[in-house]
Amino acid sequence: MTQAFRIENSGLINRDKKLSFKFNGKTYFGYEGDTLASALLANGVHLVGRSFKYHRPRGFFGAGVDEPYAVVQLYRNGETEPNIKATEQELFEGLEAKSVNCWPSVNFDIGAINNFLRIFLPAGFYYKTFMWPKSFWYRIYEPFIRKAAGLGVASIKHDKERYEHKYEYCDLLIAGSGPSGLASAYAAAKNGAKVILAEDKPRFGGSLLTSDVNIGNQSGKDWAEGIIAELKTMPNVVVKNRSQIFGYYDHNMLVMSEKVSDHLPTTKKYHPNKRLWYIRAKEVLISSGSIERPIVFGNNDTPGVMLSSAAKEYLKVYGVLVGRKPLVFTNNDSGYETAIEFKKHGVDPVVLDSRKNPESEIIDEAKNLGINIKNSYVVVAAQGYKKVKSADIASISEDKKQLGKIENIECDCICVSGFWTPTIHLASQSGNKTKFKEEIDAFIPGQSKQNEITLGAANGVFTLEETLKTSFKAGSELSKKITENDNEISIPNVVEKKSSQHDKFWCVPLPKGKNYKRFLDFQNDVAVSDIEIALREGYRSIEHVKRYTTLGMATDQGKTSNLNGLQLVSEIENKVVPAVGHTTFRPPYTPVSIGAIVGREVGKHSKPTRKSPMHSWHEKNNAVFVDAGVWLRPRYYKRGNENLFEASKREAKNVRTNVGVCDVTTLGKIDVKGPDAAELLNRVYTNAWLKLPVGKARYGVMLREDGIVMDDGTTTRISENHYHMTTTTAQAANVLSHLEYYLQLVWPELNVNVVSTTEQWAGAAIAGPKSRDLLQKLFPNSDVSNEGLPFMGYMEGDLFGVKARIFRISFSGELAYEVNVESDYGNFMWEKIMEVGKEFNIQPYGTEALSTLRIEMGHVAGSELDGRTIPFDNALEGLVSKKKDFIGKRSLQRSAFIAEDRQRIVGVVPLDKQTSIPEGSHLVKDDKAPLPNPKLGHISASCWSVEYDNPFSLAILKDGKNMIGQKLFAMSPLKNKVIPVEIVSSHYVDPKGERVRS
Amino acid sequence: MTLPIETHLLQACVSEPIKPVLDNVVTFGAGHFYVSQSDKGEMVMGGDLDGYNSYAQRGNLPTLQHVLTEGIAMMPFLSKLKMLRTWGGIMDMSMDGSPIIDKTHIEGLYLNCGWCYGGFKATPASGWTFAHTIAQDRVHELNAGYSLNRFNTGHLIDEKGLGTKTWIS
Amino acid sequence: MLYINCPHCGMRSQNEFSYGGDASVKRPELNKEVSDQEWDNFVYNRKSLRGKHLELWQHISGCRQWIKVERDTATHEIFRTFKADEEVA
Repeated sequence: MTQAFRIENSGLINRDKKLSFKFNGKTYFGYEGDTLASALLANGVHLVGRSFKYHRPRGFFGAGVDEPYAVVQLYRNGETEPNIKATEQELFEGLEAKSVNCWPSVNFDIGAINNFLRIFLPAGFYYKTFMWPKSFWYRIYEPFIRKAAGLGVASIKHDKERYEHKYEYCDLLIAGSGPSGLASAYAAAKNGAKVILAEDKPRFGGSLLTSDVNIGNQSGKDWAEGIIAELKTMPNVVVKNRSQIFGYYDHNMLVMSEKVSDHLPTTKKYHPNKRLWYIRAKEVLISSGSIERPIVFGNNDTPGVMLSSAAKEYLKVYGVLVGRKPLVFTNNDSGYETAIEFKKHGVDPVVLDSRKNPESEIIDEAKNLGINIKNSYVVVAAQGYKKVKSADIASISEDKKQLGKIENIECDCICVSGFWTPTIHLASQSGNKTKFKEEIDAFIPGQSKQNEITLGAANGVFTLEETLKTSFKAGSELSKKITENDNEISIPNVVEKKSSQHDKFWCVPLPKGKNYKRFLDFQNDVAVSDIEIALREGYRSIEHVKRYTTLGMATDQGKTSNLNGLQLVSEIENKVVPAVGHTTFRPPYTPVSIGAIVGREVGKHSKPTRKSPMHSWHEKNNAVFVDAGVWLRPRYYKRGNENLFEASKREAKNVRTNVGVCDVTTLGKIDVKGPDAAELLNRVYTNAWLKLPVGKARYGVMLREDGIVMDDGTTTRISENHYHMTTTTAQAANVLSHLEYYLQLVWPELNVNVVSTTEQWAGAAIAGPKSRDLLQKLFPNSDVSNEGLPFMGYMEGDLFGVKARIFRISFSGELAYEVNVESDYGNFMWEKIMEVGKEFNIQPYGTEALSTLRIEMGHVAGSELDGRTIPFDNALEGLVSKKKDFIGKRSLQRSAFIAEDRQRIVGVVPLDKQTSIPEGSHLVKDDKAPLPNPKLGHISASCWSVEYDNPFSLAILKDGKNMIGQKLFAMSPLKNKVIPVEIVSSHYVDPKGERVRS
Repeated sequence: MTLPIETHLLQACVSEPIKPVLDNVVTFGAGHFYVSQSDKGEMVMGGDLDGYNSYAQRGNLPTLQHVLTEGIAMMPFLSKLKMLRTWGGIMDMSMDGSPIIDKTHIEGLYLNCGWCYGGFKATPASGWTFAHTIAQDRVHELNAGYSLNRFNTGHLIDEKGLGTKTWIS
Repeated sequence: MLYINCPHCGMRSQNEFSYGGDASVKRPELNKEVSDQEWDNFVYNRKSLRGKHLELWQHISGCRQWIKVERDTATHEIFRTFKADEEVA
């Protein structure tokens, strides 16, 4: 394949490196340094897609982020990615891309029938056309619309790419490496400021790459290269290409997405695909330039109609002619610059200028080159379906209302320039209230809101000399404030051609009898007529017009369409543009990879994993783990072919008959120290704490201020002013914050310190009738008899040379102890327990057996303390002191909390003693009652009682106190089960609690 | 009147449009994330509050990052899509996470507020019972539970059990 | 992302902090009779101010101190920060 539209002696591409690529199955060639768009254009390919609604043929309109048309499906390294802008995608060897939103092919697209049905698809067509009859929406309209929706196809495969995050701080963050970005970066860098300069394109320099200017006796491009080369050598400067600053957030936090690997055939090993930078900047310089806006005319979406600046960029950066018979349609001098470039490369353009008699140095140059210029002329309509073949042109009256006689001239592209729109997105995102600048018919930033300043074209300054002057000054002054250096920079001499005033003209009127579509938003197919309909139907706010017509809501987010839309609304409404206002600019400026936003927090990395010191032992002994918050805990230890049910039953049974050991390291532990520690506990817990002796533990319940149980646990008095508090695994962090809140803010007079010691102690619960025998062997020098270490007692012991804490506390309801050692000795402790416990038939048990044991004992846990229950509900009212005040006590007086039929914990047994009751089942009186069947309560936890060998559940039941012995139904619509049940005491096993004291 | 309500900020976002992959709304309770696909093909996603009182209608990226992390946990293919548009709105977060539909002690003043961020999905029922409440000047049996004085009596409707920390979503 | 000046540690990003709500809420003293209205105001009712809002944050991933932050809820601008025991004038 030849690159028929590639010309010699122009462009910044590397002609030594030829690359092959495929588009819609056909192989083409391009060069290193091309974009997919430039390479296709070099091969004369103009038809790349179909529009969203009417499926009209679409080509290339721009050369960068503003591109509304050229959205393709990309294939790279065995993966596919939808909605890639061909104008942004750099070419690499083997690239493959396909058109989107067309079927069966871009050349013959069935959806194009919508083009002929377009009378039925006006603005708001989702809201109106398909609403009636109502039933048609689900059955006919929506399935049809949905099938037609969307652009590219999402891969359903796991994303194999890796994305990184980076946090950075700098003195000056500069967005955009055009003349203002380079000048301000250079000045600031010379003052020693820490500078980050970001450029979204692969090449630095912005407009200097394409404009015909001279800075300090060099071409603009050479000057830019020199500056960048020098900046790169400076240690205080980071320059980043392929990096888009897309969001300006609170407190000068900006976020930048760096494309690290998209321009390569594969991502290099250990490299991310993209890198997201969170940058906190002291000062932000926005030098994001401007985007050319189109002039609206008939069929202005035909492939071959494009921005004149894009045509110039394809020519000067990529050495590509977008046509051999160009028509340039302009209302300002920029169109002439494009025409001059064509002429210099041997192509004869025709220039149509809407202005009557403009004069400037640029126009003089065009005239001197012999370019055919027609003043007071406009393009009325483009002709051609899949490519521009000719243009209907006409003269236009001075008031821009009357068209002259329509002539047709042959052309193969129409390069259009409707003047420039400053890129104010970042400034606006910072909170800056923008203002309308009459001279340029566009909005520019107003008063700075955060520490941001906007320079150059982004600020509506379109002369290079002024841009460089203000930018050098801004860079120098802002950096001086920070570094206190003041290095003189001499501003280089600038040679540029002066331009004249643009024409306030943006839309060509329709000729009589013609009904051409005149598009504003090219991807979403929003035409002038759609805006007119929206306004006729009463939409006034620009935000409403936007949503109703979808103007500016496509993947280019209206970069080329918004201002023309505003002009139209203000014209119809007979208002000035600033009175209409613009829609809110919100991040992101350009679409950002969701993978990049998420970064490394995917899969197993999405949250940290916490493991106990005994984790490797559990692994070696066939533990099956369960996530308990961020902790991994053994759920059961698998023997042979056992399943969860069999293993947990075996483990629980062994606790009830012999002795078991459970890793309880994950329990929250808080050291409470200080002379007022007892007073703090007394205020935090519902029960009394002032008289707890040293060496004793006590069970406590703490409430939130609204009277709801927050957490429970045992706290042990280690010494006079030192307590060891335990919390549930889930609430550990919240309880610590809770204590700190009261100590620091509410009762600062209490002399207490709290600190988390969860990770400092490894814990093993030893439970079962033989636990004392085992303990005696583990601590031969300690008196662990019932008298020496009674229930809720505490002592320190020597575990084969390791200092240990021994608590006689029980969650399982059996005679039980908890041994803590410093974390580093956790594994040692565990192995000793297993080794010494062998003769007592010890078995480790996991969380499943632990749950079984506590459920059948009626001990509450997280499923009952679910943030909605008070002490009474959990049969813990005996722990609520009547004498003293404590957190949340006042709330307990509320009528619902003291109601006679208040909900309360009960036990539930299925009548058939066979069917396990799903957790979450509702308890109802009558299983046949009509819906909504009144719910009396819910099953909070279920187990298979190893004591009685039948299912047993706990439930929170309305009037539970008086329901013992009642027969109800447990209903689980989710599992499609209705189970007749009997209500029993929640203390199913050992109701008097004799075992723990034995 | 002081209400048991705080004003918070919720962000949402859409991806670029893609061909249909999802016909329903899917919510991810444990991860706090929801997603549906619009008729245009955009994936509409959201989840957590930004987490501090706000009337600003502008949020910050880490919240969306967190929401999208949960999204990718449920639907890994979302990683390959691009986030096109984000927005932020203000939410009337009640202290038990449920709305208040009630008359007040001031004659002619009725409340229908505290919808947190799930409000519009219950609009027909809320509108119907609210109309009843206004027309008859007494609450309907279906909105009787959504009374303002439940915060005083303790008949709370706190489905998540989070209590009064409205900023934790 | 907010940038909060912890009075103990200096400028830190918001992700080191957890939010604690309206700082003007005062817990009634222990052992003191309070009316239903007073108690409800403490537990539930909030001013939810638009504009200058004094609020609590805890520097949980830093010094673990609770601090007071004066912030504009309409713009997110932070004016001043205070230690837990500092009087806000």
